[in-house]
Amino acid sequence: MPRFSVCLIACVLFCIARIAVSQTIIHGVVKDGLTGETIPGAVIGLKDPTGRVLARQISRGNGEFLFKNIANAVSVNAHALGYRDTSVILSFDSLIVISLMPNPLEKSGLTVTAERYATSIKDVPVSTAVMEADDIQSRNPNQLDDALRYIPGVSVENNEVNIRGSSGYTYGVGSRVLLMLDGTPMLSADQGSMSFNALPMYDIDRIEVVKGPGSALYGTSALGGVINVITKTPDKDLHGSLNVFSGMYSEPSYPQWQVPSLGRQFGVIDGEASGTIGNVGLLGSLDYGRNESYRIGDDNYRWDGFLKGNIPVSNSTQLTISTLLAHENRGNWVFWQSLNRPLVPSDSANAVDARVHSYTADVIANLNSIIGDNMIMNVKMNFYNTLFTTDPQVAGDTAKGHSTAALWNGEATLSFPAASNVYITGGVNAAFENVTSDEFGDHHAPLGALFAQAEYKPYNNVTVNAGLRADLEPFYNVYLISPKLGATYEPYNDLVFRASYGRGFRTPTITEMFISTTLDSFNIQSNPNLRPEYSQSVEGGVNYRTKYYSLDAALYYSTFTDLIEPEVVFSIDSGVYIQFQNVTKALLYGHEETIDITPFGNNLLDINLGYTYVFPENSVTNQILPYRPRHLVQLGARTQWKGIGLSVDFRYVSKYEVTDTLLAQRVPNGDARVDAYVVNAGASYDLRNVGIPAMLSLEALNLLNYYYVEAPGNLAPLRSVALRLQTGF
Amino acid sequence: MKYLSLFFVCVIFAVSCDKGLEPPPPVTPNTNITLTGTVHFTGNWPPQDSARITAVFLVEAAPPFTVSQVIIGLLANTVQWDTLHYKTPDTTYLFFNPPPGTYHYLCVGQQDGDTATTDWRAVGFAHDLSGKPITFNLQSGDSIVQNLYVNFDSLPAQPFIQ
Repeated sequence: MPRFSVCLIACVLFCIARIAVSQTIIHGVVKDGLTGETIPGAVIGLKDPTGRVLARQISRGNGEFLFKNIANAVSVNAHALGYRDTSVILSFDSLIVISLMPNPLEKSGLTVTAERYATSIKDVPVSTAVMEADDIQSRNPNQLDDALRYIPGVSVENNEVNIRGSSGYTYGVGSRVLLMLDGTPMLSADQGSMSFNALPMYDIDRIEVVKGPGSALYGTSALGGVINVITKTPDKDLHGSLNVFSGMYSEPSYPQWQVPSLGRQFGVIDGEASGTIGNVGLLGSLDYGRNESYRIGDDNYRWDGFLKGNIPVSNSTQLTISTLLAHENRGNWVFWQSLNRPLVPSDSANAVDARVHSYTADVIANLNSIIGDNMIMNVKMNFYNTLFTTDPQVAGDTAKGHSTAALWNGEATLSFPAASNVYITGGVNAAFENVTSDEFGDHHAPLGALFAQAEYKPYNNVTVNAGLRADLEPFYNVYLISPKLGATYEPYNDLVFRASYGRGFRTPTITEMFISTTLDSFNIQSNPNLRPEYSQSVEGGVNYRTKYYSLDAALYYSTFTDLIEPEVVFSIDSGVYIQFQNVTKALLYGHEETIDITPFGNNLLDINLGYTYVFPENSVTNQILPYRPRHLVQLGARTQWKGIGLSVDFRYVSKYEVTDTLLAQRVPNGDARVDAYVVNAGASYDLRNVGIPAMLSLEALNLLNYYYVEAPGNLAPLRSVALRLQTGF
Repeated sequence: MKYLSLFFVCVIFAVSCDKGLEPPPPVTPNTNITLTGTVHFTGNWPPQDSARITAVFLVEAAPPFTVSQVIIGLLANTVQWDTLHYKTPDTTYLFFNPPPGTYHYLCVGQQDGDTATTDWRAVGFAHDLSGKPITFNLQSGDSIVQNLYVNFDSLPAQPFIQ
């Protein structure tokens, strides 16, 4: 009987405590278990004894969270990207401190692009690759395209990015892959092209690549995929660095290819600084580069500057403002003279004398705010302006082509949990394009869009994701609906199956519709009747990740409708000319496998392998699409040991089975092509080992001096060897 | 490091045998001379005893000339010929690598009698819009197409001196 009484009293006391607890304020803070710094934006979940989530909240700017009057809560769980999920039993008499330990398995495992909010790649139903800062640094790419070539499934033809065969060679206009800088579009409003050399390579934190249509979230141009370049966050402590980089291209081994007058040298000097003044975090860089090139009429001078400021407006609101400015003065190289003289341009006088000046400016304002307990508001605005002008070939003549293109873009997004297992993201997007050009005319194109998506977790190991975007584009007199649907299933820890469907579209660029010019003997005429092109894609995949290796495999099937291609037109009035037309339906399917091995579980050795197979077919003619490599292999290895770093990367791109017959007729040997085998290698030594605060690296690109083309009539860069010195405080 | 070395070796082995694109082989200049074309026949063919041999003749000499000059020219290589079949509506002829030089007369001739050294007539010849015979200056690498038209109902002026 006494034992029964004790139990009864204990039960009563426990129940009283529970009732008291349920009416108590639950107040806590989330911190990094290693550094002790607070973690804002962590998802905090209160759970009942069965593990059911009763309420969710997001930690504020100071890492704190606060729940009131939640009944039956017994534990609190914190989830933050890059950290291990951590649960603690509630205590109600003091501040709850949740210390999160970094999760090494989530290295390369986060994305903000695939779902418009930060999430783990394993929860994303579409193939997504992330190149982290240390991967970028170990390869020291000079431009973004140099980095993209290391990502499985991605190939680059001149300035055009091709994800799993979605793009071919389109004369530099109308990218079928959307490029973004910190989540804002960065395709020129006139040509829809990318400015790789304007991006601040030393300030990039990571590059995210979503493979597959992304128009349900991002609208036009996300036909074949999305690339999001994310810049670093300013440091708390002041630090700066100076990077000096200089090298030289090799001479070709064939005597008839050699051009003795070429300098072939290149160099870049870059300075950057980061720190916090008061409570404003600042990050900035300035760099100047000169490249004499390995061919005539292809040299450039360039500079670019980048400044980013993080301004905390309140405890739960932060404003980030970034400014990017870049200028390039380059030769007007278009195609080679022939395969007998591939380093000499087809129109030498024009390439050498008609210098092209391009200016790029991008101003981004990004406001992040936590509203109430669990709603995140994000407002982004950016102004992206490009300008190019071409010097006259002969002094005193009037200048040739020029174009000024401005993109004003604004969007507002709200993200919030609609229920304990449903997370909603929705927003509105408006943009305005303004083009003034002597080649394309003057045009203004507004657009408006609404988008929404929901993430639903019916079970702990199942995530279902659905989204829809409606775009209204009065300039093209169209409205477009882009849905997406996906799911992931994790039957065992670290084994994830995924499946997705998505639709993409691209409205024709101003250039494709209104260009009227002569380019290297090609007469190009306008076509104002162009319509948008569309894609639909389904994908299934599996991912398995351990401490020592990760495996990923995907099958995909895509269709493209109304593809815009340059066509040869014959007319009695105008003779023979080129015009962009909606001509083709296409079918692309294939598979992709990636393996990443870290045999020691750290960065002592890291080996990665990617293989992509694409079957690209014109479904009208049943012929292979031009400029789509069928096989793509990327193999890399890098090691870090006692301040010594070694890396080697190998890339195989099978030769294009089909090229543009028009080009082959107009450009001598314009259809010359081979399989590409490219080896890049690097070695670095941390001079701090000998008391000097600097890093010295030696890099060789195209080490074996292999001769190949990526774009027709353009020999890819010859072997280059460069020395880089990085020093800082 | 073992893996890395193996990787290096495999890669270098895989690609070191090939240098990729290379200059196209030098183009051997074409030194051949060809004169070719189609002979179109209209009208009524003469009976075979009036058309014992039909051939295309390429003659250095300018008309008029004698039949004997043509026959001797065949032996001296200053006249080329390519025989044709009887009653073939349209057929091609070819002179491959005739001696370089100037040829003033290209015609279709027929042996219209028993004597091969005298009984010949021209039934069609290459002429310009004014009706004058076309002169061919054949040099190394030349490739010329010249069609010929024969109307048996309207034979041309004869080049032969009787």
